[in-house]
Amino acid sequence: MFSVADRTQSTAFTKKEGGSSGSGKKLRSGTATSVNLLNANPTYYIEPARMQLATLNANTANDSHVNKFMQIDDALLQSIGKGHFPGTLGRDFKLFGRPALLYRRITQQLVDRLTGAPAQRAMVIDGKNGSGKSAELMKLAAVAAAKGHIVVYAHSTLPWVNSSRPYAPANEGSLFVQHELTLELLKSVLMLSKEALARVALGREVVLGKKTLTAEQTLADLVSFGIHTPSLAHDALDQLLAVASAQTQVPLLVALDNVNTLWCNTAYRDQQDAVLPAERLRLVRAFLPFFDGSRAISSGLAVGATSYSEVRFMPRDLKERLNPPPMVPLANPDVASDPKVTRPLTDVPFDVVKVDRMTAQEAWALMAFYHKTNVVSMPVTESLVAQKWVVADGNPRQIFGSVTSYF
Amino acid sequence: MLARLTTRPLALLQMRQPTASAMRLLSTHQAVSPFDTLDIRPIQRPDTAAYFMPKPKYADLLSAITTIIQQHKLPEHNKSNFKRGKWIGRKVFDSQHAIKMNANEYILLTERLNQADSLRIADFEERETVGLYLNQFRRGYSHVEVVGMDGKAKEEDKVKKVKVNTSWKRGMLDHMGRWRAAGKRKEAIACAWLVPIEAKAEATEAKAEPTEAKAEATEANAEVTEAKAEPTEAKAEADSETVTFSESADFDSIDAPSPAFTSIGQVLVNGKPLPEYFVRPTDRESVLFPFHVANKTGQYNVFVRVRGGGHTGQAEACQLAIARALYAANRKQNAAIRTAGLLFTDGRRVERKKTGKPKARKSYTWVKR
Repeated sequence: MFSVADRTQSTAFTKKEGGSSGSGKKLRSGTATSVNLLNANPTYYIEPARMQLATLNANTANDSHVNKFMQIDDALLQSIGKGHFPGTLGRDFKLFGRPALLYRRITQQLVDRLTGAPAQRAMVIDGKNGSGKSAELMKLAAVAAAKGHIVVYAHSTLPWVNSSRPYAPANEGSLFVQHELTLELLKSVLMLSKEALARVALGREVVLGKKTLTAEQTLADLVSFGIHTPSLAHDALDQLLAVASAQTQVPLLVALDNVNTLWCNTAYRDQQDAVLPAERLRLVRAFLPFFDGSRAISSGLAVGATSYSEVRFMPRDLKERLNPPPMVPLANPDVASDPKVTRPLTDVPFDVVKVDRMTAQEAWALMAFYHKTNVVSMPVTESLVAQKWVVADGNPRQIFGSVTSYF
Repeated sequence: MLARLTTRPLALLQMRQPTASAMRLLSTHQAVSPFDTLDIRPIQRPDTAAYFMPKPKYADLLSAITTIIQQHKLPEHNKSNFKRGKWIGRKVFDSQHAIKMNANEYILLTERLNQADSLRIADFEERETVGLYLNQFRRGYSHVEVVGMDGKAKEEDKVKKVKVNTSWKRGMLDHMGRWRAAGKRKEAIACAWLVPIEAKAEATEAKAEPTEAKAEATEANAEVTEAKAEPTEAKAEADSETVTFSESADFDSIDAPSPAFTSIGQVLVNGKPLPEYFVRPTDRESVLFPFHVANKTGQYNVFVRVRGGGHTGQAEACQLAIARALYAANRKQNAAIRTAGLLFTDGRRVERKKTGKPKARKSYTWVKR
C-alpha cells in the first residue's frame, strides 16, 4: 500500500528514460519530462529544428560571428548549475532547446576590452530591463574561460543580500560570513578554471586556519582546500583574489551579476536588529575593492552588470549616478556660486558601459533564430522585424514578449 | 449749380468745358437749364450690370459660373462629387475676394461650383482655364493672382497649380521637412511629427552603379545606351526619401537582410520611448496601426506630443495624428490609410449618467416588493 511519502510523490509526469526500452520518437521539451510522440499529432508536436550552432570560445569570439547565435560552453553552464541561469535566460534556453545567445556588437567590444590592455578601473554594464546585461556578462565569462583565464563568475549576487541563505557573525570584527555561498562560489571557480588555477603558483606561504600552504602550491590547491574546509572558505576566497589579482601570468576575470547589491542595504539584520549594509558582509567586502577603485587587477578585468529587477537592492544614489539627469549649466552666477545649491553627483569609481537597444541586423538575427526554433511561425520579413522592433523599442526582452504573446 | 453738381458721385461725373452750342446760348443771354449747358455724362461705366444689385460681386460670380456651366455639358449627377467641404468658406470669400453672402447664397454658390467642377470639357486649354478659375475658390489652394471675372484666365496671370496645405491639423510639411498633424480622441489631444529615414545604403549603392556603368559603356555602343539608362534609374533611387522594406519572405535568405535594412525608426511619445510611455501592448499597437496599414513601419522617426485624457484616449489620439501625417506625406502610396478609416475622428464620448439609474444604461436591481 502507499505510504504517506508515496502519496506526496507526483506521478503525473514521470521522466521516461531513453534507451532500448523506449519506443517511438521522444521529444526533449522545455520541461523536465519527455513526451512519447508515437501517437502524437504532428501538427501540434513539432520537433525543434536541428541547427548547427558554433560554440562561443576563443576562436569564434571575433568580428565574423557578430549578429550570429552561438552556443554557450557546457563548462560554464555546469559551473552555474542547472536552473540557476541569470534573469530569464533559463526559461529562454528551455524554449529554444539549447543554451544559445546572440553575439552582438557590444559583445565584441567587451571581448576586445577583455583581451586588450589591463584596465585601471572596473567596468559596469548598465542598461534598461531586458536589454541583455546578464547575457553579455555570461558570454564574456564563457569567452574568458575558453581563453584560459581565471574566471570568478557569480551569476547572481542577489542571494548574498536577500537573506535567502544562512549567515553568521564573524569571529572578530563586525562582519558577517556566509560559508555556504562562498563554498558554492569556490566550486564554480574550480569547475570553470581548473587548468588556469593550476598554472598559477601562490608565490608565498598562505596560512588558512591550522593549514599552511607553501609557495609552490597552486591556486587550485588553495581553492580545493577552501572547498573541503567550509569554515575557511572566506579566507580561501580572500587569498585567491589577492594572489590572482596581483599576478600577471594568467589573466583574471571577476564577473558579478547584480553588482548593484554591493552598495545596497541587505535584507539581513544584525544583532541589534538594525538593517545590515552590504559592506558588512565578508563576501561582499571581498569584491568591493575591485569596484570602488581601491584594488586593481594587474592582468585582467573586473566586470559587473546591474539589475533593476529587484528595486530594493538598487541604491538610489547609485541609480542616479548611473543615469544622471541632463546637467544644464547654471546661467545665474549667484546660483552657481551658492554653496547650498546641490547638483546630482555623477562620478562613479568605475567605467560604465551602456547596453543600448538592438540594431536592425541584430533584431533580424533574433527573429530568424526564433523562426528556426519554431518560436515564431510567421515568415521573417523586414517589415515584421521592423514592427516588432518599434513595438519593443529595440529591447530584446520586449521583442521576445511581443513575439510570444497571444494577441 | 456747381454745388448741386458736386453732390453726385464724382466717379460718374466730370465737369467739362461747355460745348459750342452752349456757349452760343450763353452769349445770347437766354435763360437755359443748367443741364442743357453742361455735358454731364458718366465717363466710367459700371463693369457689370449687377452694379446696382445689393450684392454685385456675388451676382457676378454666380453668373460667371452659371455661364461656364451652360457652355458645357453636365455629366450624370454623382453625389460623391458634390461636397461642400472642398470649397473655401464664407469668411474666406469675404476676406480674400470681398464677396459677402449669407448661408443660403453660399449653398447655392457651392452647388454651382460643384457642377462647374464636374463639367466634361473637351478642349484641353479650356478645361485647364476653367480649372484654374475654379482653383481660386478651392480649399487648400493658394491663389497667386485673381483670374478675370469673365471666366477666362489671362495668359500672364495664370495661377500656378500649387497645392499648399496650410492646415497643420490635417497634415502638412513644415519648414524643417517634417510631416506634422494633430489628432483628438475623447479628451486627449496629440500632435505628431514624422521624419522619413534617409536611404543611406541605397544612396551608396546608387553612387557605385554609375561608375560601373561608365566602365561598361566603353565596350560596345549597345551597352553605352544601357549604361546611360542605369544612372538615371540609380539617380531615381538615390532621390527617394524613405527606405522601403521588402514584404517578400525568402527562407533561403533568412540569415541576411537586405543592405538597406540598417536602421529602424523610433517612436517617442512626450520624450519617452513608446513602450515606456504606453505600457499596455494594445495601446502600442494602436499607435502603430497606421504604419502597419500603410506598410511603413520603422521607416519614419516619430515624435508625438500628447496631453489630456487617459491612456486609451492618448493612444488613439496619437493614432489619428500619425495617420493624418502619414497620409499627407504620400497620398497615393498611403491610400490604404483612408480606406481603413483612420482619418476620421472618433466622436464617441462617455455617455452621461441619467437620474434614477446608477450609470448611463445600467438600472437598479428590480425588487418585486
